[in-house]
Amino acid sequence: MLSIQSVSASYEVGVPVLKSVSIELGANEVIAVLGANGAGKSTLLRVISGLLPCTSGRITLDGVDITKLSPDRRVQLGVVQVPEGRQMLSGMTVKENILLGGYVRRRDGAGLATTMEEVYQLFPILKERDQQLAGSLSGGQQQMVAIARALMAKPRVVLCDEPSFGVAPLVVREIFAVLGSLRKQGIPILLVEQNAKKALELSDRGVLLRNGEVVFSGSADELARSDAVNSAYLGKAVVGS
Amino acid sequence: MTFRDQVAYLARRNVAFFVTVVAYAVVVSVMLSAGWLFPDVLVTTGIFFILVMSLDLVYGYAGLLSLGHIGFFAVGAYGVAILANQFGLSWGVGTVLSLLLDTGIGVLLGYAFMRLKGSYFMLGTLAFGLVVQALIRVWFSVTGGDAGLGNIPRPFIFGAEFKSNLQFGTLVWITAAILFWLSMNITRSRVGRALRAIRSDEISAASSGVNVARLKVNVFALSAAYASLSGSLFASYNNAVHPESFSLGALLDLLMMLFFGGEGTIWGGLIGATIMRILPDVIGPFHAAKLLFSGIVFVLIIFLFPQGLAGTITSLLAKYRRSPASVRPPDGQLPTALSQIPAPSGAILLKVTDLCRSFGGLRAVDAVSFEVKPGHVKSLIGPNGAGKTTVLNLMSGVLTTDSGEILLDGHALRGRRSDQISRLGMQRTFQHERLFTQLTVIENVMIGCERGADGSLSELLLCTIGAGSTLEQEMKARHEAMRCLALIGLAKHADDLVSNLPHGQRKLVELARAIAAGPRLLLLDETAAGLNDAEKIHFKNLVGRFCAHGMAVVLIEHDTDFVMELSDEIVVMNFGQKIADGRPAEISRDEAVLAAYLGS
Amino acid sequence: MRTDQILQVILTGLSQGGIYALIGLGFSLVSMSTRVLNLAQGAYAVWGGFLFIAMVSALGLPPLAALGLAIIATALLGIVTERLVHIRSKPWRPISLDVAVLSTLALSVVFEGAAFLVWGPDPQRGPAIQSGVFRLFGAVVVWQSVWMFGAMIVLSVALHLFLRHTWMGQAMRACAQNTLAAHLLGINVRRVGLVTFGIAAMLGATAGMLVSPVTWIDYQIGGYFMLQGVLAFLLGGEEEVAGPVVGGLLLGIVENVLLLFPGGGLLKQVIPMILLIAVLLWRPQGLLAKRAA
Repeated sequence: MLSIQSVSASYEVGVPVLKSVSIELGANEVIAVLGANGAGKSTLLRVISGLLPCTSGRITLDGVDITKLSPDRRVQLGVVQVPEGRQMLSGMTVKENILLGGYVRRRDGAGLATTMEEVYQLFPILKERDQQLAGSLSGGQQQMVAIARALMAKPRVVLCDEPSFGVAPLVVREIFAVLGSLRKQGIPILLVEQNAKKALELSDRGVLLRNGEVVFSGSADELARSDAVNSAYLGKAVVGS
Repeated sequence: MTFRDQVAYLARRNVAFFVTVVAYAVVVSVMLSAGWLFPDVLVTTGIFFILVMSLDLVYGYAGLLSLGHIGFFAVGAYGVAILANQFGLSWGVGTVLSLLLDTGIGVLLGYAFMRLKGSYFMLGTLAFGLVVQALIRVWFSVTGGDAGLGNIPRPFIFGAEFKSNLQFGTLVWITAAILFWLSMNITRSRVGRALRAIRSDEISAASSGVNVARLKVNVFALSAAYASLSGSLFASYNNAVHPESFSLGALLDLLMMLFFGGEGTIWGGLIGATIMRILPDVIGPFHAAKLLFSGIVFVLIIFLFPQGLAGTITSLLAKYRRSPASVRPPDGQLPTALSQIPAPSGAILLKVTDLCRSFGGLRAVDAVSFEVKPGHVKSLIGPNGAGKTTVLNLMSGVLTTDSGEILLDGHALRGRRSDQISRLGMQRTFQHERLFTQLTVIENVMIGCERGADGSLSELLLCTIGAGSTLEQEMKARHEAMRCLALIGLAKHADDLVSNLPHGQRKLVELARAIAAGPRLLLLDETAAGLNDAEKIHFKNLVGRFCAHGMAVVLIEHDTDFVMELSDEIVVMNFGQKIADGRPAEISRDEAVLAAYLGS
Repeated sequence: MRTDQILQVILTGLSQGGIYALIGLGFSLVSMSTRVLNLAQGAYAVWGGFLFIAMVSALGLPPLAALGLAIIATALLGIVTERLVHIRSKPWRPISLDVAVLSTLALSVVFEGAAFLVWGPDPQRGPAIQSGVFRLFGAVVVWQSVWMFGAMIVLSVALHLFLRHTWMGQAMRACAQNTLAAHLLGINVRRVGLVTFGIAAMLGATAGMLVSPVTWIDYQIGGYFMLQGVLAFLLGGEEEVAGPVVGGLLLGIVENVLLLFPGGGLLKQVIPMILLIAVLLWRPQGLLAKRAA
């Protein structure tokens, strides 16, 4: 479905942040992208969404080469990101935020209305607060709005960037439940997370990034049991304890 | 260094400038004798050269794009004219009084506008320029309104009369040369370095000890003085002042002179002013299109030619430029500052108590307390968003504390500015690298050594006349900086531009800058992030050496192995709160810590 | 002071304020969506005015038709401005603010110079939409000023509705609040920028056209218009539509009230600039803004 082939990227000339990363995301799959801060996880998602160019490599969606497409074209093709830190439109209401998620489908008024209903069923609390300004919501509620926005675009692939960041543990559970239901609907997800345990529970496969390179890749079970993940986060001292 | 050495060094260092000046003199003499150029052009070029220098000081160096300098120019011109017409004052007295007025306005506006961010600063200064022009037009009883004023005396200074154009021209160029020398003194001094640091990154300039606000105001006032002098000369030369000369069109001409010549060079103004003065004669027959032509040229300059002519010439001749590093190679000794770190008066160097900071409804830092002993390494770890960098920002004065106390050897840090905290002995690096990208490696470190510039007027004046930061002192500062670089292992990159170094080395430059002042407490925010294994070992050794000299270190890192090896104690944070504080072995077994990282 | 004098002043102030508000609206739109200070905003008014006059006198078109055509033509200037300002921008490499502002300044001079070439230095006067005057409680009201005020009301309401109830309008608001989010929502931020600049130019042009019978237009008056627009925007604050409207009307009334005092002409030129500096110093977020600076 989404094929990332030997993609490298850098913010400044000569300072590579991603080094020849390859990931194959199939339909109906959830892949967790793990790694410490600065490993390049968010950069990877930025490159896939077109917010940072690749210095080399290719990205294809169902065989279509999207490497050089502008960010808005990629969203039109169904590559939708739930960004790090939620990126709310703070001065606009919840309803306006969610509706704008459907910007790429704006000609399909009826379809949008249906999707909006579905989204409100998933997140009833958002319907209650639909006239509230997005900037005044809690972290967890904003995360819900962000996911709702992504769903409005009828995505073919969802890129999720640290959904548990700054969100209270109970709400994290709720959010991961929603991601779980997305998975059941067959939407492939590329999930970047610091919370390795939760991410691996949800995923089929996992990839571990370190200093911009893939250092381990395998099934979620393999990763959860391996020392690699533990040591990446907590150091060798913890492994085996 | 002997005097001869000094001159030779300066000549090689400023190759581009000397080549240009000689070429300029030759070309101008040829054109004059051939009759292609009128002496009149030379005089007005000199006058505008002074004006361009004034703008280059604030924009090219401090990065403040003032769109109102024509206002200062106008006050200088009209001041002399009005005082001569109304009170019969001589040019000299009129000029001095206008200078004082302009400088005063410069100080006021400086303080008023300093807080404004980029666009608003431009708007404010633009408004000032237009207020002056409006005042001129409207207060016609005094200024003569649209008709202008005449009868402006020529200078009569200390018995010397400058009545003829030749004599006046000489005065103009002598003044320009003196002002140029003063400007060069500033820009080549520590104040100049501090200004360029401000332009590059204000926040880290403040963290390195530069009193940003005060320096900006003083430079702004100084540039107002330059513009005033230029205006007074202008008025006297033309023997008339009209509001037309101080309109938006004049602003545009000034900006074009600056950009054509090359902002940030000071001497670029010479080229820019000459070209702009000759241009009308070249366009001559197409006078109607002059405005359109100027606009198009300006657009082209901004986009295609941002360095300007002076900048281009300097780049072309760069390989002939003598590198200052070769003057005195590093001697393998420890930087003086490092060997002189004072011991604290008690057993505890840093005491943080119940530190709190919220952003809106979010408690980013929630009653965090810990202590640091001198010569110890304390690490701050925790998941993303735990509040670690916020704690560092609160300690270093980049953010204001809501409540709680921070005591550095008994000095309360809360409420102090970054540069004040820096002078109390705390230095830091930043999570998202904040180097002065427009400066070389060694210049970055020198700012650290010098504890910035305190931005005071006396310092500025001393540097201006070349006393506050003589060549000898500069060399000494360089030497200390070289010692730091040698310690870190970057000596051979001393004169490279920071932006040309790879990531790992840039992080080390930030480290070098931070330790250059010999701080008692060093805050390192993810400085080792992105370093490869060999670099990390080197980094660890360095930290060990610093601690051996009495420096305490608080560091944030994500590589837990690294943290465990390096730290004496570890503080773990999550959701803004401290959840653990102890020795590495204890922390690695702590249930709460495991839960925080891996999820429960 | 007699009542009809006061009324006169207020009515004139409202109509002039309407013009300032229109220019301020254009300035506000661009400033909020792209963070760029568009110093070419006044030039749009000049070109709009001149084109309008040219179409009516040279081409003999009826005023309303000329109005429409000139507005569309001036939109092109807005598009040129956007293209130039964003010539090198990419989602990962935003433009330098200094360079952006300087380029709008350079462009304003290009527009001014072109106007000078085409129409020469002499001020020109445009035809009124509706000529003549009428009396209202003793004050003399010029029909044109009713049109000026009315146009401002109609356009502000239209703009407000556009921003809240159309996709493009919402996209513009999104770009203003969070450009990163806008990209990720599939909004073509560059295209939105083009539309923004285009609308800003059209608003400026309308102002220029409507004011041309009342205030003579010459190639240099752009700077003055731009400043009045900026002042309206700054006074009113960062509320997309209401801000410049309130700011513009306030400015118009203040200027005309000052005329009642001796030396009014003098004050009228100087006070607005001083007001600008005062606002920048004490309340840069404007009078209407909800949040602190």
